[in-house]
Amino acid sequence: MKEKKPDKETFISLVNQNLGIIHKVSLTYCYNCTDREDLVQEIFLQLWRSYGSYKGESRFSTWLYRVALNTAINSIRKKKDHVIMETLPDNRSYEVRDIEKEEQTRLLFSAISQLNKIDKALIFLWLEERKYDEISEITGLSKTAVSVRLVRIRKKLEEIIKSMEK
Amino acid sequence: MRDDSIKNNWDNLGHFSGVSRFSRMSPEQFLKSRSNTVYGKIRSTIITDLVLKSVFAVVIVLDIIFYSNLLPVIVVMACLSVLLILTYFLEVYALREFARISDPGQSSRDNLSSMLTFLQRKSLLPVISMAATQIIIFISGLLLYFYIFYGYLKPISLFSFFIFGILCLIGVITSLTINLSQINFHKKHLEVCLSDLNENTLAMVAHNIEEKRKQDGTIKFLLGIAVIFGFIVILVLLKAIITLPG
Repeated sequence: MKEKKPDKETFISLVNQNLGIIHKVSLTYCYNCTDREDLVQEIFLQLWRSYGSYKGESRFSTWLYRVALNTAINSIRKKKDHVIMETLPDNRSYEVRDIEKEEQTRLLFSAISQLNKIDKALIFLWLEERKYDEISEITGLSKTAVSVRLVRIRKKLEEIIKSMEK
Repeated sequence: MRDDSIKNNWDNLGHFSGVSRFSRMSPEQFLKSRSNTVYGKIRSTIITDLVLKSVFAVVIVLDIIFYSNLLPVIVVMACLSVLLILTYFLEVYALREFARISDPGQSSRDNLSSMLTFLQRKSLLPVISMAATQIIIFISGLLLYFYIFYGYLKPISLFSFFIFGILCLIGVITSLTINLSQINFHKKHLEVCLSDLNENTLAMVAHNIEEKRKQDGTIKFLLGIAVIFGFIVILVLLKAIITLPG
């Protein structure tokens, strides 16, 4: 059976509506501008490659989370042990820059950077307030496994953050 | 830091300025960009080999034209052409199959396990096929070199033939080693991710691979044909070069 040719305009419009997800994934997995840009471009490439097989069985955002996270997990880059704090994006949407909030956000990213790729994906989805059902659909883990893993990861994150605050 | 505090910090990221709109670039432009994923790396390795094969297909045609009055060379080129066509289609098939199973729209578990299964079960044949390119390059290139520099098929001593043969063998072994180590690197990466996802998943995938491997008689059969063809080509060339008058 001949595969349906993807509609470029619809695709671009759908991706543009979900750009935030792609950029947050790149922030979770990469710690310098070049790597982030590469990953964003890679995600766009994989989204377009996979779009033809998207049948609309799940929500577009669920499918996009899957592609973006799988791309990040499958990306092979040089390992960087620590987050370079200065490289987090300057969020100009702040009316007034809240130094303390920014510091907390940097701390959070620094802690997340110490997790393995799968744990990063799970905590990312939790932070994005996805339901356990959806996290299970995206990762392929059972709902119980997701809930158990998230408790463990959150505990680990708290410990990392505590040790960094000291 | 409490959960609600963590989530607040996450929400702070909100909207980023300076984010380029996707519409500025067409999807076709992204398709040309370099990929750092497991799929992208393997795809670029196979495509590079396919390009090399295409170039040496032209060299084979040139050899046939230049040596059209020499039957042994025509026979060698016919063998090389069969080898080239077989390995070309095998690599195209592997590329299409890997593109299909590595669809990133699946769940992470399915994506990782299907790629690992493919690399465990079906990567050896394309790797051998890529190594066979060295034989094609060496033989067709050597004959073209003789024609360009001497204008005829220059007979070579047995010693020189062994030296050329060893160089060809080194090429094959180097290609095999590089590609196998690359595949092993990707396999390890996928295994680590699967193990991080769930230890049971990795064990289940390993069990499935072992089960399917027993049924993979086709791979062994094709592998045998490829090896035999390689040997035939080398033997025919040896005979052709040694028995040709000077």
